[in-house]
Amino acid sequence: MAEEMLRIEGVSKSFGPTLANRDINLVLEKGILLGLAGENGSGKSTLASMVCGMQSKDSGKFYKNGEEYDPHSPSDAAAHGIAMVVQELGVVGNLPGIVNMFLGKMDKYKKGVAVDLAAMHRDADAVFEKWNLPKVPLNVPAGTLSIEQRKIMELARALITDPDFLVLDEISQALSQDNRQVLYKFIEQFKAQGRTILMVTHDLEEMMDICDQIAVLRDGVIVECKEAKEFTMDELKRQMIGREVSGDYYRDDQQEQYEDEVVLEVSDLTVEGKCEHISFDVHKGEILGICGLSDAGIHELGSAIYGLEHHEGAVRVKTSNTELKHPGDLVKTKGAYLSKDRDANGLMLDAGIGANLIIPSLVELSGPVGFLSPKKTKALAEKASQAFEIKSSGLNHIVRRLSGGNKQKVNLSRWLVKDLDYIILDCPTRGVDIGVKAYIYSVLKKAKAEGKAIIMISDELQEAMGMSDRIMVMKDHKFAAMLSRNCDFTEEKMMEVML
Amino acid sequence: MKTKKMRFDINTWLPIIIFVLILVIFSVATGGTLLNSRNILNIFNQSVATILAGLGMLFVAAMGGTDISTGVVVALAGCFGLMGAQASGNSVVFIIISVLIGIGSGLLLGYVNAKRKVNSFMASLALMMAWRAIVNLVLSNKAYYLPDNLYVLDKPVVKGIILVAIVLVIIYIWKFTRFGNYVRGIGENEVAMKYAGVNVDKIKIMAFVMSGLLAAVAGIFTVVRLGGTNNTMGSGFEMKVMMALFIAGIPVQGGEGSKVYKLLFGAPTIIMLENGLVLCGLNAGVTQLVRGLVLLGAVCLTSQLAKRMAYVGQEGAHNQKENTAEKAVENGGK
Amino acid sequence: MSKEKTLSVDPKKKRLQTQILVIAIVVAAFVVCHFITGGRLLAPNNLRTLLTQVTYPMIVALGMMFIFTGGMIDLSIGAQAILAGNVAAVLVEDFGLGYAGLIIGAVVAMIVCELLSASCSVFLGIPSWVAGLGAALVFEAIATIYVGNRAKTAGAAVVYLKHCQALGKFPTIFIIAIAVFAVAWFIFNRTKLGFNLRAIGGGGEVAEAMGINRVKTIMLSAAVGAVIISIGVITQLSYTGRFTTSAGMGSLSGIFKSLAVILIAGSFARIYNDAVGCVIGAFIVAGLFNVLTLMGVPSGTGQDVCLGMVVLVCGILSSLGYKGVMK
Repeated sequence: MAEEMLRIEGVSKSFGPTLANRDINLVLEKGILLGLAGENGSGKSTLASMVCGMQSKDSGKFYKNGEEYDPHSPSDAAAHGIAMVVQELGVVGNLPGIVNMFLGKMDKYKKGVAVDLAAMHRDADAVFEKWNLPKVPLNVPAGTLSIEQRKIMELARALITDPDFLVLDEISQALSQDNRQVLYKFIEQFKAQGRTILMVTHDLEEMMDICDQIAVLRDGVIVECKEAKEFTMDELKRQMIGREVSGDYYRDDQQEQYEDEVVLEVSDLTVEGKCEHISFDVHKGEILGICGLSDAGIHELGSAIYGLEHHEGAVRVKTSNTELKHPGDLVKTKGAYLSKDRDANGLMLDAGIGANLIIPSLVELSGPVGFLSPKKTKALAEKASQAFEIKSSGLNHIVRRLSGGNKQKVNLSRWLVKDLDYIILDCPTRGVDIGVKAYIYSVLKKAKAEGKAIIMISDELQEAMGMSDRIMVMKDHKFAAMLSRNCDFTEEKMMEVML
Repeated sequence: MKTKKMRFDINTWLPIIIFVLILVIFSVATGGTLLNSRNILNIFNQSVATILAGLGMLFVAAMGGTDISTGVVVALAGCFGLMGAQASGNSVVFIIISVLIGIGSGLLLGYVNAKRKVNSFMASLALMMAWRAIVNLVLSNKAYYLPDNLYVLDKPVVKGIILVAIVLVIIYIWKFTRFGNYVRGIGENEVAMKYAGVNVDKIKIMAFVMSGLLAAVAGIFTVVRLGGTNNTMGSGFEMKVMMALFIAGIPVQGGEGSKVYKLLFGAPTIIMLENGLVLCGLNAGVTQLVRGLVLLGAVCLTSQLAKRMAYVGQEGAHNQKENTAEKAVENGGK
Repeated sequence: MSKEKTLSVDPKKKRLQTQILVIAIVVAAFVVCHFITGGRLLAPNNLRTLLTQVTYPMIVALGMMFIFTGGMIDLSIGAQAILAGNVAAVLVEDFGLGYAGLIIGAVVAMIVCELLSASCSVFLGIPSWVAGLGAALVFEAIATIYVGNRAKTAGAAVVYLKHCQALGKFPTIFIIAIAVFAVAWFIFNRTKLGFNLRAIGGGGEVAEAMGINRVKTIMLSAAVGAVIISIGVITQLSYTGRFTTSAGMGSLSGIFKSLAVILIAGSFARIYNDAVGCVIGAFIVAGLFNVLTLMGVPSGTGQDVCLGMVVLVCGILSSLGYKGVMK
């Protein structure tokens, strides 16, 4: 029986009402590569960041080499031989690569007052040599390097501390094919020395190819963990997304149902680096789901539609025959948009519920001479608050103090209280408890019945399949497929198109 | 989630508490001189310009921005206004030119901040430098005098009526139009405003125009008070106005905590403070020292209260958060 | 086997080409202006004046670099300089402490002031620019009060430095400026403090994730910046003989040229290291004003209009391509 490198016992972590990881139990042996698989929001990155000391756990224990391990910072983790390459780029662009590699570790390179750059270069070169990594120019500002070069540099940086446990979070998506081969060779070399790697990746083929073991996370829980060769691709996919679909949670019909009239016509929409030549129509009374992996560009598409950034191509609102060029056109054409990140892009957290609820309606509520009647604004805010059952102590209740579910209700109701023709939603049930989720779905069903055109961008396949008439799948910023509720909504078909 | 409902909302009462505090302290310190009828008139006269300019700066402050060109716009408007009046022989020209200068300065500042993304503090500082130089150029060896028929504007009753009228208009704009709501919304979360379809750039420019316009109006009354121009007019005035805002608890990053009544208490408070210090016989240096300490204290107090009440971090964290959201849009995720 | 990563154009070479190009343009501008001013700009006498005038904006900008890079926009530096200058002058003239008094007085005064100002921002939660404004009022007032009191006893309101003026003479003053640049460049680019400071300033959360102590780095850098600026105070005091006190934020005008320099350095950020950018910016600013003076544009009026416009333009240039929120 191989020796134990890292043991994870009963670890849980919550962010407010959202349970990111629940009672995780996992053992990683020496000399293996374990892949963590799961949908967006399944808790993969949270687990990885807890292991490396970037986040603290709420409960449970870690054991490294048999000893209890409780890191409070990445430096703690490094001291125990654990290093990580994060998902977001973690370099300081205006500093040269060599400095980036040794940030926070410069004490041992001090030569008098100065820092011994030559010694740093020597040690850096040694790391590149030892692990056969392609050389990256280290004496130019890191910001001038390509994303690939930065990723490789981050890998080298993690290896400086000579770790025996490495966490790689979505590293391969930044690398081209030939560099991926280099990465795989590196992994072999690392394992051969009895060291362990925990890898988080979306690329299921890659995972099945190179991993020794695979653990599947779903809704914060490990649903399966076994040798990679014991998985079939189908089983892997099924474990990732399969869950009970309770009948009236989503829609209970299986047919596409919408009117012929097109409300929103998107033609050849292109935003540099985010979406390329996307075209589709949305009909009256239709719920169009949009799905894809995390880098497919689905979220950027949402804000691109109503002109938040400069775009090529055209988005036309057929009901008023206007083109959506600037964000202001959204309200003018009776549209609505809910961003995925409601705290940063949707809500004024330190203002009251009332102040938040009225913002999208101010144009309509204004009377002659721009007069905004306080009676009318209060009436609107109260109507929205009651219609959507927002639990609060009144309209002056500060939004920051609401639960995630109630915050989303504020976010949603401020738009839905208006007379709308079309709604664009991005992850409408993210970070929201089950009760509010069901409520939001019922609200959407009602909006659909009222003939509104709804675009629902979602990371949750079950949600998209449960609610949509059609689903547009995007991959690598491009259109991949348009699936129909009538026949194509199966997990297999979805995963096939997405991956 | 249960929340403790604060019966006594310190944020609402702070400006009034501080007003009363200063009133009491200096009444005692000056042995009652502060409150004799002549001095009260004095305080009123001095407050007019501060209140007017403060009403304008309120729009910029509510967005989280700064306008330190207020003092120099006062001088610029006053001096070119009088020049125009003298040249054309018509006193009304004075008002028109002053107002136009205020609006123009605001437009320039708003454009540079909103469209060119220059920090409002830097931009208004640069304008302050340039406009002050122009004022020096014009006033270096010439002084202008107020046309006789405008002296009526200096009468307390007239001043009072005009002031009340302007305050009412501003309150209307602030509370009863969407412009006011948007301005505060930008201070709360600029990115969210943009996502909701608000034309943030336009609102920002309008806010700076308000600031410039009302600074010019304050300039009109300053000139009226002085009976003409002098070459240090407006100097340091913007600091007085900013203090009037901050001492009343208007948060530096703006947002919903920015309210008109706070300024209406803050302006007389700061005037009383300065007036009181002078009456106590303290020289200009000590007065300024106290002003600086009071500014630091007031802002410190406001931000500590905000931290405890709403768990907001500092202005930097506020902007940082908004920057992160913007960056996420720009970078498109990973 | 290690592979060499080849890129289409060697980034280092391209950067060097741009650097040389910009310097060439600046030199060309000087030559052109030399002819515009009828051959006076680069005449030996004027050249000495010009090089002397470069020193204060340059040194102060280099000091500002250490303070601003950490995110602290502290504009009380002008008032601190005035205070430090007067403290030094008083130590020399009234207490007869000679060069020791001059140097130690300025340096210590500046460090104390800057750390106080920085503390308001770092520990009290006051946004740095407001803390700077408040501190400026306080420091201006302290200087005014002290000098005012001294006037009652010593007769003169302004403290004149009559002895120990050697450091303000050309070429000493220019040599000191170059030395300061060398030290500043060294600290900024070759020491742990410099790297940590730049990481905090440019890296978002990366710096703290790598274990860098934000508070310690900012305070230490502020102290370094203060020392650098104090050297500028010493040389400037020696050159002009006095640091006039001001009130009502008038101290800002004293550092306005340095602000322009820092903004120019900022807009050159992709081409030059910040320290080098400060030097080039100082030459541009000092050159501009020298030319204006030679052409008869009066200071306090025409020159300041130009200064305001230059700051505005530099601000716009350094914000080009900035897509975030700007208050």
